[in-house]
Amino acid sequence: MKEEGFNLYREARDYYDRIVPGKTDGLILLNLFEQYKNVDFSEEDVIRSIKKVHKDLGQGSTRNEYERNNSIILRLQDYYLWRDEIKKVYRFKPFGVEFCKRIHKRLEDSYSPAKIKRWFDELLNKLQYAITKEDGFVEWVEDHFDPRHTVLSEQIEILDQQVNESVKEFKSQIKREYNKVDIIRIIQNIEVGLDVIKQQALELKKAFQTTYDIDGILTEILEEQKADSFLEEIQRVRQFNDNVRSHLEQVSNRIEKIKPRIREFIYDFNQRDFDRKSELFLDVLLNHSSCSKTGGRIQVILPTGVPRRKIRNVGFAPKFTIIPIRELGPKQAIDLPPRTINKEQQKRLLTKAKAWRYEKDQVAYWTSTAFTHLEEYDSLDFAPLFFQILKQENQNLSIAVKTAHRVLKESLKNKNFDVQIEKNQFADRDIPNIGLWKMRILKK
Amino acid sequence: MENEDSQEITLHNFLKDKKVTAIFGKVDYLLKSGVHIQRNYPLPGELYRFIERNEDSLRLYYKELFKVTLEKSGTEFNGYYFIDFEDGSRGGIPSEQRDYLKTEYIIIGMLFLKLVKFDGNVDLNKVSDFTSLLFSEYEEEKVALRKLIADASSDKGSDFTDTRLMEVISKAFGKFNELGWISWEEEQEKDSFHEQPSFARLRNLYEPQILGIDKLIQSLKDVK
Repeated sequence: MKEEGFNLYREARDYYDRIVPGKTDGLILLNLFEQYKNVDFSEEDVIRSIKKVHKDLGQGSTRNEYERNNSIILRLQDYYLWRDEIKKVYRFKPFGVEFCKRIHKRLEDSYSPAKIKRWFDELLNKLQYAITKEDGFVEWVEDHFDPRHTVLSEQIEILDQQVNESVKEFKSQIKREYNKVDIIRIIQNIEVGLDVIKQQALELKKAFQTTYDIDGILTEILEEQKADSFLEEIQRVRQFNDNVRSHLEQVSNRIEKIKPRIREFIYDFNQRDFDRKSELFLDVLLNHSSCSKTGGRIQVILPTGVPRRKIRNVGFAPKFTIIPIRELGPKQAIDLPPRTINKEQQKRLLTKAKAWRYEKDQVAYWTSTAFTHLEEYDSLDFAPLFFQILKQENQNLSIAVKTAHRVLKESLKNKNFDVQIEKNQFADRDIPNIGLWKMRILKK
Repeated sequence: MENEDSQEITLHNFLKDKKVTAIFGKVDYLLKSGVHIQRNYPLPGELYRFIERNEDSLRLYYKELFKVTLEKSGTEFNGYYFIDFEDGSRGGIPSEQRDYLKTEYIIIGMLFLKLVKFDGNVDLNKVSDFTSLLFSEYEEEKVALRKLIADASSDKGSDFTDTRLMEVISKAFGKFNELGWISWEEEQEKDSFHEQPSFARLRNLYEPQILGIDKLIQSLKDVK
């Protein structure tokens, strides 16, 4: 792009009205795009869209409808529509397609975990292949990671935006004068909406699980010390993975904090009078309190009729004065710890990452063992397998428990399986202190 | 305690609780320092459960030995315990200034309730967000509060008075945390917080004045 001498602001100022459609024009374009996309359409079709949009926006027909329609059609041809003068048909220009597609993408049913999962799986596959080639990693970043990563993080932003919208709606609704039944119904709907967003965040989180596998491969690259030349890229990818995961976490946390307050509002609805009076009380405090300056200290004095309230009694709670012994004598010289390079920490991190990866792999392995068994024999007694896992995995309880959790969850979800639990303890002599209920999974 | 329902409650009962050595010292210190104790804060949750198990006995203990009341407020799931110091006059011992919740903190607490509860800013969970919301959307309240804090008669502010206001706001939330009304998400950061059920205590402290607000407003008009 030739940037020299180009001033975006100046250029946009002069062309803005033509290049950015107003609400009516924009909606007409979107209406047309929805129907025809890349297919040709007639002037009649355009006029139908113009009429529809005007009607929907409550802009009734005018006496000069013909002129109005004509000027819109001419205007839209500046940037958005192309007219085939021979065939007398219209088609979207690339800029028009781009405009409609972007809006479509932004508004399209915000999230699609299945798609995200597919994209991440694809990224992972490409990465696995890329690292077998020289310079493959950098190419992967440029060709696959970079083009995708904005779209992926956009998905979370959309969820965040939806939470904002819910809060905004709640704020505006509670200030309206509805009757009790109506407002509670409206607010309950907002609450349900938040639940849906939370569920979406959870599904997205699952879709983002593959980022851990990508991190795993990056760890391997680091480990094999092949990373010298592209440390920066590795850091960027890991940073992105960290960010998306924590951003998703934040969306869920935000909802978790908002929900009790919305529920509280519903429960306390009968206290609305108390709330109203509390607001008046705040007004009184703000406008009738006064200041007094004693000994250079400013003290705010409550209005007459509003007493101060004691919240503790200083003579009552014990006060401890702790004097550390080392402060009584002269301070001992402290040896400076020898400066060490972070290799240790790097090693620790690596060990941790490896242990985590091992655990993850083993859980997957045992889960698949369980289901293979189930497929083959049509039933599986889980408890003995649980102890077998413990024995073979050096009594690593985490692997056994996570496998149990996954097997049980997947079996309960799958309609072809039936889970029977007997509340009798099953134990193993070799592994004391651990017992679990007898659990049998049957293939229907 | 489990099998003592039939026995008469005495102020010694709680001493027989299995956890007494580990928990009571902390519970006692916190309550006497004015902290409100609820299920999720201060942690560990055992503090709350210890009081819950020994509520009657502890109530007697504080009443008989210290002439103050151990109170429980809130709902079953969002309950909280605290000592009501208003109730127990300590035999005429003069109260010190620092026993009282500072007036500006009361106002800031009420403002927080207004923003969250009455005006529906349900996602307000940061001191910095509270300040920016106050500065951007609550001009009138901000000016009134700033005037009180800076002892100024002018509606105009300066960087100095605004900074002072922000300091007072952050100290107020620090105090709310000390009282157990809010818990910090990051102890060092002191910005994001969880509002605890006991924040309701602020309004409860002034319930009579709030319920009789019309009379209070009238009496203030009469004085003028």
